[in-house]
Formats: sequence, structure tokens, C-alpha cells
Amino acid sequence: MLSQKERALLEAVAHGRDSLDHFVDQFGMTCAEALHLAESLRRLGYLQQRGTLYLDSLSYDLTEQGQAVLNLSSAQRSLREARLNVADLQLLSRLQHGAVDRAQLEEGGSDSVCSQLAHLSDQGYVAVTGIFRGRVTLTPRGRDVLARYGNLLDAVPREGS
Amino acid sequence: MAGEQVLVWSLAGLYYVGMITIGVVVGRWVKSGADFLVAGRDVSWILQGLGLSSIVVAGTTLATQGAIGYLAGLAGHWWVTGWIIAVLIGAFAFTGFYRKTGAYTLSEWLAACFGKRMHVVASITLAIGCFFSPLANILGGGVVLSGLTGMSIDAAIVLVGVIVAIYLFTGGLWGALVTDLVQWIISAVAFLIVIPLFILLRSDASLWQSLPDTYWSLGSVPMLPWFEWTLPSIFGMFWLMFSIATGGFYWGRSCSTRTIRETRKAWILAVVVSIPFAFVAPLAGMYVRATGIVLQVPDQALGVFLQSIPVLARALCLVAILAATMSTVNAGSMAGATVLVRDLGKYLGLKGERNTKGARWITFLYTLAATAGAVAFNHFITVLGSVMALALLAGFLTSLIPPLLASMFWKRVAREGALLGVGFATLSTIYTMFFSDIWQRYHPVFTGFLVSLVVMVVVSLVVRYTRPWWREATDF
Repeated sequence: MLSQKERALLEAVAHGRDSLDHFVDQFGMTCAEALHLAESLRRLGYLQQRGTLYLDSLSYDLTEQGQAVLNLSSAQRSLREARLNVADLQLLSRLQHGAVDRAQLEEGGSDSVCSQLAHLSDQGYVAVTGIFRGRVTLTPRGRDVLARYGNLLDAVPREGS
Repeated sequence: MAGEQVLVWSLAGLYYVGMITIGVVVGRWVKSGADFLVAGRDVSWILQGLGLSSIVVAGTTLATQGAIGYLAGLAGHWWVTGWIIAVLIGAFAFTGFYRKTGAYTLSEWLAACFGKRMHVVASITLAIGCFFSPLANILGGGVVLSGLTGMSIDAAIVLVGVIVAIYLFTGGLWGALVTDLVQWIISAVAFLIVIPLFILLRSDASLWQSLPDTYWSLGSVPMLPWFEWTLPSIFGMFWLMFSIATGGFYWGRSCSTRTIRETRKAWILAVVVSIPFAFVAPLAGMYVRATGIVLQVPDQALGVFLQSIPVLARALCLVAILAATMSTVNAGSMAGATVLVRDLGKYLGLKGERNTKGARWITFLYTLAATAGAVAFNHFITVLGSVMALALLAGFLTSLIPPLLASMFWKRVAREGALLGVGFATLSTIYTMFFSDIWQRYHPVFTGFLVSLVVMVVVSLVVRYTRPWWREATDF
């Protein structure tokens, strides 16, 4: 029986947040807590490490067992392909009318937003610019993905990141 | 002379007020412990890169390079070039790894890999090591400030330390980074424009002909009497800088950048913009030597050069020296304070992590303690005070490199080996520097690394044949 935190971590990996820095920021953990949780799930067979050395050792992938244990909604399963979750889609929709200051996006404290923006920036959906505080802009790729999956926002209740 | 003093103090006063104002303004961006310690991981590669460059352009750097330039020529560039090479390696090999771990400090990462005991030992080592960086630079900057203004060294030390403590209290890492940007700009104007301009205007071919040919050599570091202990070779300079850059000092900076890609860009930018700084101070020292001035204390070479330029330019350069000093001081203060808040805080019952008030006070007091240490060093370790403090910084930090490398590339390292390596290396540095004369022959940046590496490897191999020597609560 998985705990809520374990399940949340598996869902994060399912949606592309698959490395320790995301676990630390998204769940407000220390690195030791995040690594212990990920290793625990790896030993149980839900996760596999992408590699044993260097950068790959910091990333994890879902095993078939891990995928099977997740009870993703149809919307969440659709979004997996784009390595997004519903909260990402909600954030992207806030950007469709123009750039937004990162400070405005920070509702639950900076920890979770920074993980979200780092992930979306890595995927090419947003660009975070500005020498000082970040200013977040939707990229053309981000507009495409919003156009493709935006209808899912109506199908699911609002959820936090 | 009185008018010059008024100008100098006016500019310096304006600078100090500016730095504190920046700290107060950016302090409004700080709403959580993450904002205070790692700027909410919202730092751009430009701000990060210029901030890193401002760290190596320190008051002590300029004085040391000027001294080497005076005594031996362009070889002084290796002080900065060694850093450049270390950071270039770090850009491709280390900084992405730091960012991807999510850890705020190296000790936090080592705790994840090797357990709670390692957490305590590595955190203490890193906090103590980082302490000597602001100490060394406050001391070095205070000596330079004293020489140029006539105020007492103690007063100059306290002035530098307190100003940094204030803007870090209000702004945390944001305060450090934004002041670094201003400090870098001031330094660039003074050291890349003003000083080279005056050297060019006052030079002709006949002036430089008085210097030996060896002064123009880029490739060899001379065996200077007071220098040969600290950095007797190009490799020595590089290893000193590599230990500082890799041993946890810049970890928090890397982890504050927006993404892994941006942190790499930041480190590469730092390398590129630092290259010109490598040559200016040595050239100023060479100029002084070429004019025939005889100095009993080579550290004064840059100061003597500045005395020969117009008062407004001199005042700007003085402020630039202060700026260069403070940017390095704030880096060490934030690095060490982050370890206290994030790592050691919970063992000490401190609540600095989520509580920004706690983080602010820990950072403030850590910086003031380094200031007090600088005053003590000035009184009790009168010869090579800042250089010895730098040796302690490097000696402590270098002990953390073997377990870091093992965590990246050697998964069969035993936690017992990693822990005992750091522990013995830390003790060896303390013994080397305070209870023996080994330091006169072997710099702790070498002995600390070797002890850590050898103990880690040997103990890890022994543990393969025995059971683990202790269990950790996180063992499966």
C-alpha cells in the first residue's frame, strides 16, 4: 500500500518531473528525504534509475509496475505524452494573453512554482526571461500544446501543483 | 589632500548607502527560506555569471596580482587564470550535477548519499571552511582600505564587514547577487577601463625595456619568497581555485539558477568576462616596477600605482576595490550561512529554514563573526593573515571533493570511508595549520585532499570484506 507521498512522487515522474531537484522543490523535501523516497520506490519495483553514474543517477523512470499502480484519469493519461500535468496546463493558460511576472504565479510559495517553471522551460513550453525576477512567456511550442490539450481544463477540477 | 579625502569618502559613502539600499529593495522579494537562501531558484544566467566573476575579482586578488606583477611580471595572471580553468571544468562537469540534485549545499547532498553522521561532519567542515573566505577577504580588503584612506586597519575591517552583514540580512542571496552586479560593473569600469587607460597613456616602449624578459612570460610562476609556500606552481594555483569552486563554495549559487542549462551558461559567462581581469593588476605592478620604484612590501604595488593617477580616477578605483572585496565576502557568508540554516540548523534547534527571520539573523551573525575573526587575525597572525585564512578555506573544502567525486562516479564507496575521509582530512588541516610546521612545506589544499582520498578508498575497500561498521536510520 503506497503512502500519499509515494503516490505523489510516482505521479510526478509520470508527468516528466523525474529528477531529484523536482522532488525537492515540488514536495518541499530535503535532498536526503527525496533520495530516500525515490530509492524506496525503486526497491519496491515502481521506479528504475536512469543510470548509475553522474547525471543519469539523479533521474528515475516509471516501471510497468509503477505505471500500473497509478490510477490516472483519462486527462492525466493524455497529458503524460506531453510530459505535463493539469497544474501545468492551468499555468500555461494563464500565459496565453501575454507574459506574466513569476511573482504573480507564486501562490503557494516559491518552492512549487520554481519546479514547475524549470520543468516547463526544459520542455520548451515557456521562456523565463529577465535579468532579475523572472518574466514568464508562452513559447510557440507552449501555444501548440495548450491548443491541443486546453479542452482538458474544463474536464477536471482545479488542482494545485 | 584634504579635498581628496573628502572625495574618496563621499564616493565610498555613496557606495555603502547604495549597497544597503539594494539589500532593502530586494529584501521585498524574500518571502520564504528558499527565497532567502537560493533566491527561489529564480536567478538568471547573466546575474549568476557576473556574480561568479565578481567573486574572483577580490580585493586580495588585486593586491596579490599587483604584487606578483611587481616582483615577477605577467605570471600574476595565473591567480585568476587558475580560477578560470577551474570554473570552466566546473561548467561542464559539476554545475549541472549540483543543480540537478536539488540540494542547497554540498553537505546536504553528501548527507543524502552517506547518511546522518556524514551530514554533521560535512556540514561542520563546510561551515568552518566557508567562514575563512569572508574572514580572509574582509581582512585583505580592510588592509587595502586602511592603506588608501589612513584609517586604522581594525576600523576598516569592521566597516567592510558590517556593511555586508546589513545587506545580506535584508536581502539574502538576492542581496548578494544584485550587489554583485553593481560591484562587477564598478570593478569593470575601474580595472578594465581606467587602469589600462592610464597605463597606456603613460607608457612608451622605453619604459618597459627596463624590465627583464622573464616579466613577459605567461607560462611560469616564480618561486617568490613569501609566495612559494602558498602557490608554488601553476598547478598549485589551479588546485587552490578548483578546491574552492568544487568543494561546496559555489554550490548554492548553482542551485539558485533557473534551470540546469542556465547554470552552465552562467559559469561559461563567468569564465569569459573574467579573462581580462587576469592581466590588469599584474600590468599595474609591472608598471610600478618599470618606473624604478622600490617597494619593501610588494602588496603595495597596486596602491602605489593608484597614487600616480588623478584623484577622481583614484577615488573610483578605491570604491572598486571595496566593491571587489565585498562581492567575495558576501559569497562566503551566504555559502556558510546556508549550511548553518539548511543543514546544521535542525541539530541546533534553529528554525531558520522556513522562518526567514531566523535565516536572516544567522547570516548576519555569521558575517559579524567573520569580521571579528578578521580583526583577530590582523592582531595575532600578522604575517600573511589573509593568505593563511585562504589556506584554511581551501584546506577544509578540498576534503569534501573525494566523496563528491565518489557520489558521482564510484557507487561502491562505503559511507564509512567517505565519512572518515572527511573527518581525518579536516583534522589534518587543523593539525597542519595550528600545531605543526608542515604548512611551511605542504599547503593544506594538497594534504587535505590526499588524506580524504586515501582514507576514503582504503576504508571503503576494507568495508567490502567486513559488515558495515554502523547502521543508519535510512538503511533499507
